[in-house]
Amino acid sequence: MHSNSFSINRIYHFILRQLSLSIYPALIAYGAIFGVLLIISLLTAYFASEDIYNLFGLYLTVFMLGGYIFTSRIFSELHVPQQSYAYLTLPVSTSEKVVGSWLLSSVFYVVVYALMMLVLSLISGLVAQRPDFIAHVFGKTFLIIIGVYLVTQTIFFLGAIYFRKNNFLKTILAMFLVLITISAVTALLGWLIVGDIMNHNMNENDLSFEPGETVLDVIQALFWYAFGPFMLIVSYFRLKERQV
Amino acid sequence: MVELNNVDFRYKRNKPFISNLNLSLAPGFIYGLLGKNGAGKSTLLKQIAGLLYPNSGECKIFGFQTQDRTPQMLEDIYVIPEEFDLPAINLDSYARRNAVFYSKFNRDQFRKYLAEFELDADKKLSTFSYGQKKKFLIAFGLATNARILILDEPTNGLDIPSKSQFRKIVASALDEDKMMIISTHQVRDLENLIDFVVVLEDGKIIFNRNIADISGKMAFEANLKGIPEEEIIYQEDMAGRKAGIVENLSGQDSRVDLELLFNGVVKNPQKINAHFTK
Repeated sequence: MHSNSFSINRIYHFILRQLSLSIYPALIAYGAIFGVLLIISLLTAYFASEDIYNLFGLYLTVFMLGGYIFTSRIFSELHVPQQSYAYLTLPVSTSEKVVGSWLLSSVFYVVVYALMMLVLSLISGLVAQRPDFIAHVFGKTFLIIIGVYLVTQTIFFLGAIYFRKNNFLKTILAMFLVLITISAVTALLGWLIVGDIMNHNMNENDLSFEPGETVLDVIQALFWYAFGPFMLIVSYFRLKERQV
Repeated sequence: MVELNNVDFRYKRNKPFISNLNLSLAPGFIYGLLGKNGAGKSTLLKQIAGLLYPNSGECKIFGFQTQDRTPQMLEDIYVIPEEFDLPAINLDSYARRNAVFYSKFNRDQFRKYLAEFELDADKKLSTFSYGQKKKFLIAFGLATNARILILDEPTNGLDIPSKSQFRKIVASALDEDKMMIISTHQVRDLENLIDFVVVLEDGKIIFNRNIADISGKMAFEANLKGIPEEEIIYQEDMAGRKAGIVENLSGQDSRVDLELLFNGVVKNPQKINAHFTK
């Protein structure tokens, strides 16, 4: 697949370039995370082998949090005035930069972290003498969590382009504000629509509301298939409009 | 070819920084972009490189709208800014990872330039001094064979031997397909190097002339004593004497003193420009 503004080969070299620029900080971060998780896993496996299954929750928490932070920093070169000129004038199109950066913060991150989890769960399972621990870690839940991560990390991906400093914290704050606004608007609409009815004497059964299956299906479809691509498209336009 | 047509640009609303700017630069030449602090030199260079977008008008290089920032366009432009930050990797890794995006990158040229600048390819970029980093970027930029090379204050941080190396390398790297745009305050470093002098003041081009025209029409005198007043185009006090620009009546090309020329253009652009239309 090759066109003037989209080339797989250029994306490949762009990913290698980005990795070479951040390889040392990334190795230190991954190493530190791995070290801490390994110590916790070994201690749990040795002293409380029955609690070893709780490590899975810890692995997933670190996976999500680490991924969001990693994603928030994926465009750090863009926000340093002494580096942004090189990033923006690099002969790689905006779409290639977005795709390359997304692959790094999603697929690459997931693969590296999964390998880390594999080693950790293998060692912990052996120490705790619970060989089924690996199967527990790499079950259906993990796949769903990966899916949720791939969708939700696009929010931090947009935040990584949009905000110039403290991208992670500002993205969380922005999410909080958006959720508050949506909740307030929904509550206001709800009050406007059913407020009158609510004022009449009604029992709990009258107020019960269960969304139909179609509504839930639509929400699920929007989350799994539309939300991520939408955020990536917004990110593309944001990067395209970016000036120094 | 660089073409800016009716370019307007502002950093703040209702405060134009560049107004109705028109500029056309052709390949085969080195352009010296001069101007006082805040005149708009860096802004203009960023417009040309597609790092800033005009609010109105258009900016094109070799037919590409600069704000499109397509890979084909970006392959033909390399920017060496005044302030830059290089990663903590070795010189060779940096070159290998970045050169791949420039289809005309020439490794032999790159090695030759590194050797001329006395840079060790195995060293980490972070261990280099500012001047060494700048020499590395110049060597890399020239080796990309981009048709437009933009250099913002390239001689800042270079020691005296490096400045002459810089002039030699830049002059030898130019061919009829390429152009270089050099913005600087160190005008003496550009003498005998540039082909065109472009002076920017308050976001406007107030002077854009070929060095050959300038040296044919003007003479630059370190001491104006004895020169008739009517021949003097511009004069300034200089350590107890008067130096200045006079009409070149000898018919022979004179050596252009860029500092005097710049001062004269900034003080009285109309008078200096009028001299070329005589």
